[in-house]
Amino acid sequence: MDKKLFQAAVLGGIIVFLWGLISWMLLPWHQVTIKQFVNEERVAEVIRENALERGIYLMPSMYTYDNRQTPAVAQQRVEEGREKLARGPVMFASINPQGVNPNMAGSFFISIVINIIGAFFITWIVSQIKGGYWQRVGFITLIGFLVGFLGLLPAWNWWNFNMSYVVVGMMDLLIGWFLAGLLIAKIQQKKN
Amino acid sequence: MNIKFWRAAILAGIIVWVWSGVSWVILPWHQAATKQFRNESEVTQVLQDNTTSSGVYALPGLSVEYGVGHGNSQQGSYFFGPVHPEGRASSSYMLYFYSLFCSIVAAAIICWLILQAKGISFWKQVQFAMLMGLFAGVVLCNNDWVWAGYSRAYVAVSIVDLLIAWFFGGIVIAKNLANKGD
Repeated sequence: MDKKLFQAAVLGGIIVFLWGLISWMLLPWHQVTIKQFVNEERVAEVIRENALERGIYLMPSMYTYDNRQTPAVAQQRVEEGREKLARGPVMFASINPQGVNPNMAGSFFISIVINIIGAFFITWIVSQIKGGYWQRVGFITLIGFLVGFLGLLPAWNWWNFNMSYVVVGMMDLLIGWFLAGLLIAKIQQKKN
Repeated sequence: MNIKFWRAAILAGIIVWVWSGVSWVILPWHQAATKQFRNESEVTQVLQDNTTSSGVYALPGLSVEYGVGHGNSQQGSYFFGPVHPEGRASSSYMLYFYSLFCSIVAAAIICWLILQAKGISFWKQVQFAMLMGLFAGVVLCNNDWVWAGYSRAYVAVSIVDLLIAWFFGGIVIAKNLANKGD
């Protein structure tokens, strides 16, 4: 394993993680794109009663997989689902009826590890590209921004995530990977 | 930017878009990773009564005093995702158009990056495109699985989906960007 590659991945991943903390905990921009239910107790109760397990829930559930249904029943569900889509509400949500663990230490650790893995891939990709310091910073930023086109914009398009949420998410990627790029490119420059 | 570049970007974008159609419409794996409420009508009514407008909703809410949320999780339910109380059109050609457009832009960025790595072989170009898909999957895994609480099954299918999409996309890019003698 190339020591510099590993060093760039670890430090780059930590920088992206730290940026994520600043972005979510200190800056108000994510919070302003997320709404609150009028009566949280009532929504929590109906979820507890109707969501049997953790998962992604769609409403209307016209496309949810059910291997017991016949093609005719599936078709009928899709027809009914179309009416419900037009009537509303339409929902795509990550739901856990048991709630979440308020202790976030485990999530922080996993997030750091995942960011380091991401930084490892990006460092390897950029190591294959010839260019000066700022060019490499630009490549890393661009690859970070690419995630917006592969994940955030499709979420806006297909699952109705609002544009303000997606734009903030894309800015987040742009800034996070720009900051990581400053360091990763520096380490790669020393190597060369 | 020449014709070869745009041909590679457009064809790869189309291939990735076609794959996502196959993956979502024909294969059952995405649907199998989603769940259904026991009583959808009851949830519908409660969501109608408790949402003021379209947007991404979180439960517990991300109020300023809680920072990143989780503050009121004693209620025992977690919810994160967009809700549109007024509904939406069941089918729109624009959805397909935007989806195709995103795939082509992503393919163009990947093509451009591959062109900056001069002289890499056909399979290395494919590997390059796949790695960028995998990188996107890893970053989204952080957002979706760790922080938004998406299920492992849903996130795993999404990562594999990106990897397959950009394997096909990478082949098209490498084929179209290839110089004589490659």
